[in-house]
Amino acid sequence: MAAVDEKIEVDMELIGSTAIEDRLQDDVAGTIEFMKCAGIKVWVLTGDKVETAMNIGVSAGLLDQTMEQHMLDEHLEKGSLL
Amino acid sequence: MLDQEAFEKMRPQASNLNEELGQIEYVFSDKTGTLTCNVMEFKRFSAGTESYGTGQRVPPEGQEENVNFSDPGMLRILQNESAEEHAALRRVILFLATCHTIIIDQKKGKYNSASPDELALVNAAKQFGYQFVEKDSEDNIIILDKRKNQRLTYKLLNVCEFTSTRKRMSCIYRDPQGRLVLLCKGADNVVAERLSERSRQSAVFQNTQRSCDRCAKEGLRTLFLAERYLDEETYARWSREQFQA
Repeated sequence: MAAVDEKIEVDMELIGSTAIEDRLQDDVAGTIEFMKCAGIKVWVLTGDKVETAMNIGVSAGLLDQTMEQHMLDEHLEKGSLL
Repeated sequence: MLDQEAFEKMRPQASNLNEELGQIEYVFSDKTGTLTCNVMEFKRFSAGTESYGTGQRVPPEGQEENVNFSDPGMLRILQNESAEEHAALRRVILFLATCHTIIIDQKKGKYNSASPDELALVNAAKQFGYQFVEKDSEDNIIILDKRKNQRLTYKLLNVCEFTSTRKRMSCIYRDPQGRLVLLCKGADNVVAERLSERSRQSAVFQNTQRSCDRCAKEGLRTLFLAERYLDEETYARWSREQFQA
């Protein structure tokens, strides 16, 4: 089914974009800070765009300027990290 | 610890969990609805070569549910049919009113959807004067153009559903002018891969990508919107294949 869907979703014309806000819950940054102090490592999983995820990461206190950031993406060739 | 909403204190039922909790080294957290409120609010959009929405938080008066949008300039363009940007703007708003799988709860007069993002988009279109009013038993989607008091009928022919791997969904309609059109919304990179060469080279593409990237940096959830007009033969061939699959 999905494979057939693919065939019609081609040759399209871009007409615009939308942007929706989903705010952080109260006290998320404090809670994460608390967990970090307890030595817990926090991973966040999301299907969002990288930029959106990074912004949320900063607001939630998971990322900050002092951290060394590494980015891996699907376009990296296999084995190129070794 | 107190739950402010329910005004209830935390009450331990058993204490053996404490020891187990103390051993936790890693927390894997979902983002939407776990870190965030899962309350979607339509904030900004782009249409053609223009971007709209001040991004300022506005008071809820005059805002539909799941919408927090202001841009006086946009409203002027929307009201002025001879404005240069009018057609592109109207096209996007009609897209928002049409391309979704929302069901209307007639008793409560409310929109229902598995996707809270779709509710935000359809409510935004409603706020801008294009209200999704009905989906009848023959899959006709009726949009009310409130400015002209005109009902527009889109016959829904197919839905290519959203999945987390596809990262997009599409609907195929017979539009009010009788044309076959596919409307597709999804993650920017996924939709970008499926555009015509001409669209990819266009000024619209440049503005849309810039606008989308800027919104994402603000932490907003972004979507690309794309259309394709289909000729009868292409559609008929695809439709047969779809039926057999």
